[in-house]
Amino acid sequence: MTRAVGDGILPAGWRPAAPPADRLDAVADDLLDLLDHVDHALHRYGVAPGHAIVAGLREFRALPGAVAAAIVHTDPAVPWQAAHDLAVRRSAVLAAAAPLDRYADRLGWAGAGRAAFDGRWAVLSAHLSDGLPASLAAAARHGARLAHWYAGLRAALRDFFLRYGTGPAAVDLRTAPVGTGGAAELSASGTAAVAAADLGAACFAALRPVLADGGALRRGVPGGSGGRDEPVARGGGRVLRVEPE
Amino acid sequence: MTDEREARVPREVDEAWIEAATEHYRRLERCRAVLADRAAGADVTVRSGDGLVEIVVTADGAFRDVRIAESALRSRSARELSRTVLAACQQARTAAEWAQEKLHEQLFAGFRYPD
Repeated sequence: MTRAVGDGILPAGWRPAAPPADRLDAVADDLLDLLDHVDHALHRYGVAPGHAIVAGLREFRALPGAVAAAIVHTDPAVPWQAAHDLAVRRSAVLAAAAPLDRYADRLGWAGAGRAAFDGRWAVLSAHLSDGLPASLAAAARHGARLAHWYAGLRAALRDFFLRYGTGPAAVDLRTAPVGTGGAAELSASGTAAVAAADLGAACFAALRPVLADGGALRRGVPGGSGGRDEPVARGGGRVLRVEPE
Repeated sequence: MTDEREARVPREVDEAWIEAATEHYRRLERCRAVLADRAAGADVTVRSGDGLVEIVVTADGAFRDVRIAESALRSRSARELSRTVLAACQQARTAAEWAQEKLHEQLFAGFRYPD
């Protein structure tokens, strides 16, 4: 059975696609440890005026490690499971609505009472077979988009770490005598500050395009029309994008 | 992130934090320049235990001079003298680090990094 629902045709048994595996958990501890060093160095040594990190800090309003921790600790499976549950409910509503029309047709009575019933039944039937499933589908698709968007953020964070986690800036930062307090720390503080700022700016740059897509997602209203069923892949499938409604 | 560090590092960043952070960076930059300048101008002389070799190094670790007494050339074999020079150089490096720490203490006694 296929019904016209909201902005498209969805099978009665439609389920939202699960977000792709981001594999962030495999590197999460090392990633958070590195960005913890970044946050600590930025706090301890400050930020160089004019460095790209300054614009990033103004934009994100948080240190890179704090941003990363929020992303790492949010599981896209939660909104996806909620979306899946809504799709199951939609199927149940469609299954329940189908026989009701047949029962209504078989009513063996006529007259003014039947006309009044038909008027009310038409409204209720439309709600059960179209309006409510459309709302459930729209909410489910929004939840699925949210899950895919979060998976995209997590994938971007993973890619950042794979690219920069063992690079020169990471080595400079990790080998700096942070916290020793003496001449050696002061002498190395400039290198450590720049390394931390470079890593932080790279982290922000990795997240920025995916976060921008979140703005489009936030503007998309569940139940609205014109959206796609699922986010589409971009950049070789590494980063997921939600098309503006 | 440890709880202790989490408590010190802000979770949110505002314009005041950015302004303070850039000013703090500039201040550290000035401190580094002062320390580097003073360390480059502070000579440390290290003499070997037998007094035959002197090494002059600046507090930033740059070797400025190696002085070997004439008598060393007559009383020591080349191998012995090489060992003495090497030991003096190692002592000079340690002395340079010590001197730089002393300069740091003198110049920035009251300086504290943000908690």
